[in-house]
Amino acid sequence: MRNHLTRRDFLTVSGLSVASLLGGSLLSSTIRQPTTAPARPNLIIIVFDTLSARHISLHGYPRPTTPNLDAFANQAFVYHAHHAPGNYTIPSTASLLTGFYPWNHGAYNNLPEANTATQNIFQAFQSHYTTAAFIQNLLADFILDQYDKFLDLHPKLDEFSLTSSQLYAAANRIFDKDNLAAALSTQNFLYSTRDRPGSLFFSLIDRFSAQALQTVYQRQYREEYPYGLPFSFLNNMLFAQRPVFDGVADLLIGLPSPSLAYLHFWSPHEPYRPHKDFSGIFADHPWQPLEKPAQVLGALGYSQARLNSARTRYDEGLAHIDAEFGRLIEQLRANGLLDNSTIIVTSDHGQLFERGIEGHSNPLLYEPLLHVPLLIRTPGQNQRQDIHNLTSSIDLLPTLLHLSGLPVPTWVEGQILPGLGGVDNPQRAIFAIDSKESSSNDPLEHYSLAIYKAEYKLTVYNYLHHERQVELYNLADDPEELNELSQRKTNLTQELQAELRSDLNKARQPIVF
Amino acid sequence: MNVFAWLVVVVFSHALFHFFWYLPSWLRYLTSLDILAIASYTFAISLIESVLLLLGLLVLAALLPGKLLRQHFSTQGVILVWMLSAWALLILSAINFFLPQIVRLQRALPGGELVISLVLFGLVILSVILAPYYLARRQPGFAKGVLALNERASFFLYLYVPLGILGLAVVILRNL
Repeated sequence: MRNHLTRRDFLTVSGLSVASLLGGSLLSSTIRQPTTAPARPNLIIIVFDTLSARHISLHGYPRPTTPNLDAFANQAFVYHAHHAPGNYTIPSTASLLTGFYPWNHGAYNNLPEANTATQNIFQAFQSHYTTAAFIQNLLADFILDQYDKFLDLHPKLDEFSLTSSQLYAAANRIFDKDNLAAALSTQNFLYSTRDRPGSLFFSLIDRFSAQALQTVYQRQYREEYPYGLPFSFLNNMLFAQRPVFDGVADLLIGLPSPSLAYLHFWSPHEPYRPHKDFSGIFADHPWQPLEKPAQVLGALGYSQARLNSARTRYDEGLAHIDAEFGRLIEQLRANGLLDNSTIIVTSDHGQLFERGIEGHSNPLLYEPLLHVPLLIRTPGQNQRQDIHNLTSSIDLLPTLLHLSGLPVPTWVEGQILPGLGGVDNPQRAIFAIDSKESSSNDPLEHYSLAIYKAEYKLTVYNYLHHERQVELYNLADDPEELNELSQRKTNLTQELQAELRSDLNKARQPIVF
Repeated sequence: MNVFAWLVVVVFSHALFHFFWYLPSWLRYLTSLDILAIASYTFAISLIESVLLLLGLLVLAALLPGKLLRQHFSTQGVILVWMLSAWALLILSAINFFLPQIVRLQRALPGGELVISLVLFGLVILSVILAPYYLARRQPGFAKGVLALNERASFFLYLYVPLGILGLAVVILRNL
């Protein structure tokens, strides 16, 4: 992402040219050069998986989890009421990449297949930008596989890792043109590490080889990572944070200008495994989280002590990621990328440590799960701007197109963000959904739906064997969602339900509501 | 051929059993074409798994002393496949079912009782696995029985192998 040539650049380019003449350069063969002059800013989207805004000191969290993010915010647009449209990776990442709500892109269940094959951020920028994406989350990478033809660079998800499922990695490479079906068949079925694998012998060989490699690496890094190395259980991927962030920095520095880069880090997703420098840093912190009433939906029945302990480890992991983020920003600054790049920091969804529940594999739509950070730093920006309007992940695509001087397609559901060219609309409503077990081919019957409007949030939970639950909260007065208002504000409850119904009726697949 | 027949029976049957175990959940959110694609990959990969395992056993037979495996490959090889299958099934069951149960038992039972239960369980499993191999070497009647079963197992070759080849063809076409 460079605009000018230094002496060092000249020597590097000369070296690469000789190398490419001799053996063919990887860069020249895989990265297409954009057709337009590089007057537009680079766009770098950094997504931290499972990063809840409710755990960021920037948004008032009592533990100092994110000093580097706070410093970055001092030169950025900070969106205080930004929300993910789903509570887990598949729907929310697909929304971020397509600008559609989940009920319109269709990827709201366990199948990461968005029905927007030609309507996505990479297609929208492809003619004007070099497009690159690196994702560490297997489920998000499934989505990306569908947009491969619009990507100039798409390193495999284990590119900077120590080890991962060898059979899945092999299948991913061999069946490169049919990645989604191959992944559903291999990683989700034949070699599944989460449930009963369909393969009797190879799945065991895969598990044992992964286990053996993991043991070797865990021993090697025991000093550095006292709780074990960071790990993605989706594909048995083990990694150390520093090589991943360094790899990403090298990737960004090597891209031509202008480029659109989408970077999706696995951390701070569970299991929470901070570096030794961050392990235990919040063990003696005096702040204690509020104890909230148990929620029967998705109930795990965890004790408050267990939830508090998991929360502390998550916060320590987050502090580690924040430090790596700080290093990444410094590397970009040293290479001049901060001067010609718009940098976006956000997340796909949050994490819950309350009401007897830990995690995000549940049907709940509470704020720790949906309230995610959004920070946008434009090239050379040195002032902070705080925006308190309701915004959604679907707004990113139109905003970036607008910032790049490109037309916003009519199919985009999101709006240009306020502060960056969008209008200030206090009456705007935004939505979120969870319906993991539903078919995207039939009307939804079992779901969690939320509508946000002004300071109010209405949530409807509709599941088999559970009484239909409607919850209304005033987030301005009650950000912890403890004071349920639907019985006291029946008119408002009905109005919001009507608005939710009206928007859902426009969906590609109707919802029984 | 007998050894391959048993490998095919074990590998394909296990995959199909779990395929149908998952099917109701897939029907909730996958299209018929998606499910057919999974079936194609399942058959293709099961065929490859069977062939590679057969190659592994042939290499083992070539390396080991003749009387251990090579001289009576059609009976001892088949028993080895059974033993390996039983072992793999037990390990997978342990991972998927028994280990969580053991964790629960650990909470419920005093330490000593749990250890004794686990040791007894392990001895039973070991004897179940080793008995056929011993019987085949010492009891000619048992070896005859194995051969008779082999004939029946070969029937599955005509069912599963064409499915595997069909799956392989679909997979190749999808990846062209």
